[in-house]
Amino acid sequence: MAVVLRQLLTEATLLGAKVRLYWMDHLLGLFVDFIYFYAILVGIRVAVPGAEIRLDAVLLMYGVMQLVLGLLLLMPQDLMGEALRGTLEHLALARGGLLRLLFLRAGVNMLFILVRTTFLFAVLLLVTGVQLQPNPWWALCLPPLLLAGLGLALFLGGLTLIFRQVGNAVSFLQFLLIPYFLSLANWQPYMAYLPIAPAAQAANLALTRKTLDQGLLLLGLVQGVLLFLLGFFLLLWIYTLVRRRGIFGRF
Amino acid sequence: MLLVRGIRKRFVKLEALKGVSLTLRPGEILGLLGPNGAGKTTLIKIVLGLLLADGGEVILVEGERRRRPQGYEFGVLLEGSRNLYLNHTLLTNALYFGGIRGLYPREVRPRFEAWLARFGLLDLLHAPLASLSRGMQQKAALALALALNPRFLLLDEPTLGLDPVSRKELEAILLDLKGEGWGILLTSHDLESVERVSDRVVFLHRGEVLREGPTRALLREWAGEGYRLRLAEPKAEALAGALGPGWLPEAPDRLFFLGPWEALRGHLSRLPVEVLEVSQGTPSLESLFLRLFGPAPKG
Repeated sequence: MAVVLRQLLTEATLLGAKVRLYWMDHLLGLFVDFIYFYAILVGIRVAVPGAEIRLDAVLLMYGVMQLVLGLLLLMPQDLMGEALRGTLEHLALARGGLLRLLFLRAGVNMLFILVRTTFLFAVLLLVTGVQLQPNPWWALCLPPLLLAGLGLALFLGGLTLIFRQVGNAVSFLQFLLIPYFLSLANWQPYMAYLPIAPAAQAANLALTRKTLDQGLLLLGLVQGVLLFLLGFFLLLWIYTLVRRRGIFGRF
Repeated sequence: MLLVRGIRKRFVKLEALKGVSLTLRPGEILGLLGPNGAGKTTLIKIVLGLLLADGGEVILVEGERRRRPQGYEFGVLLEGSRNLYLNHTLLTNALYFGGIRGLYPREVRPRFEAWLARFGLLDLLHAPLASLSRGMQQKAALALALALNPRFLLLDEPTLGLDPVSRKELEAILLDLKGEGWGILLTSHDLESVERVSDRVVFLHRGEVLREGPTRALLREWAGEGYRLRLAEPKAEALAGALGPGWLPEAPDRLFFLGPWEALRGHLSRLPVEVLEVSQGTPSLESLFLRLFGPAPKG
């Protein structure tokens, strides 16, 4: 256990070093995400003129999108970067192996993205003047979202190990997810069965209407666990496959 | 002791390793030699667990205990300097790669600093790796591999990018490490270095062990005794090509003859170049390597 904690701390330290080293990019990224929110808002107003838009729901949709997309984009980018630098094989020599390290790194990244999204969300709340009406148990909606995001990240990580360049697969997945994020603004009961949508809607209700929909939350949790398991076993299988084929780390 | 037994590996149509076995003992340097594509890097990656073998096993023997070694138990240099984060400092790299192997900064840092001092790089502890020359990067990567306190060192082309002075320094360090009881597996195309430092060599060719044994004994057994000729003109390459397979060019003005004195005596009077000196000896590893794996001699 001490070794795992040591490795976790090491990953956190490296992330800190990267943020310090590339601070300009991180700062600009926050600014771009801030502008991006307004672009979405204007887009919705232009697309549906005269419609009554619930700003709190749109804001929440954006927060969830930042969280999930941030998570699932990081792993393929990270794996590609490590492979191109030639350090991926050295990461695989970590105690416990590559998969443990990827999990720890994903955990650290998840925390970073959570803090970043919370900050962005808080600034947007201040700027737009939106008042949330949170249920005291709203934080329960986060684990299903994070599990689903992590599962998709592992899924894409696995694809990266074998297909190397997965930029368009990532874009494709982002397009597929857009309707689910927009479901926050126009929720329909059938959407409960779409990936990520029930946990996102549960978060929406918990933060904007003080309601904790236990049914939606449970469904979101089941989905999150299933997506996580899917991603985990796919990554495990592909990691074995690429080592058997001799293409591990060859990008 | 590290035992590699009957490793087989096939990549689609290519049989990369055909039952390779070797032994690496603590306190010895084993040179793993062979032309490009012989299977050296594949074998190293299998030992590290970065590739999965189709057959065979890698065993770490500790007294009575035998087990599969883990990747983190090896100090590794893979293909030159692509082993570290170039934009981060040497210290950040050391603490990170030590940390993911479960080592605390208090364990890694003093060892890393000591190795950097030995390589003359301690002043650069807080410098980004990218600001160093390629040779310095290679030394820093080696210092880190050593600071991780591994059981064995697997060095794939460690002299790549090093100037002659650094190469000599590296040789001295490898010999010191051997004296301290480290087991080192070394692959390199710098055969002069390998010949100077290795206790034993393994020749791999097309996935098979061609020969294995103590370096000097193997050279004598394989090539037999012979004679080294110092020429008045740098024509060794052309002469070896013209004279046939028993002649090995070792340097522009140095030629090695594999065979008995009586045979050489017959040739000496007919050589088109003046011979300044003749001495008895064994051929160099490099000339033997060229004879085994190089193009067939003309004529």
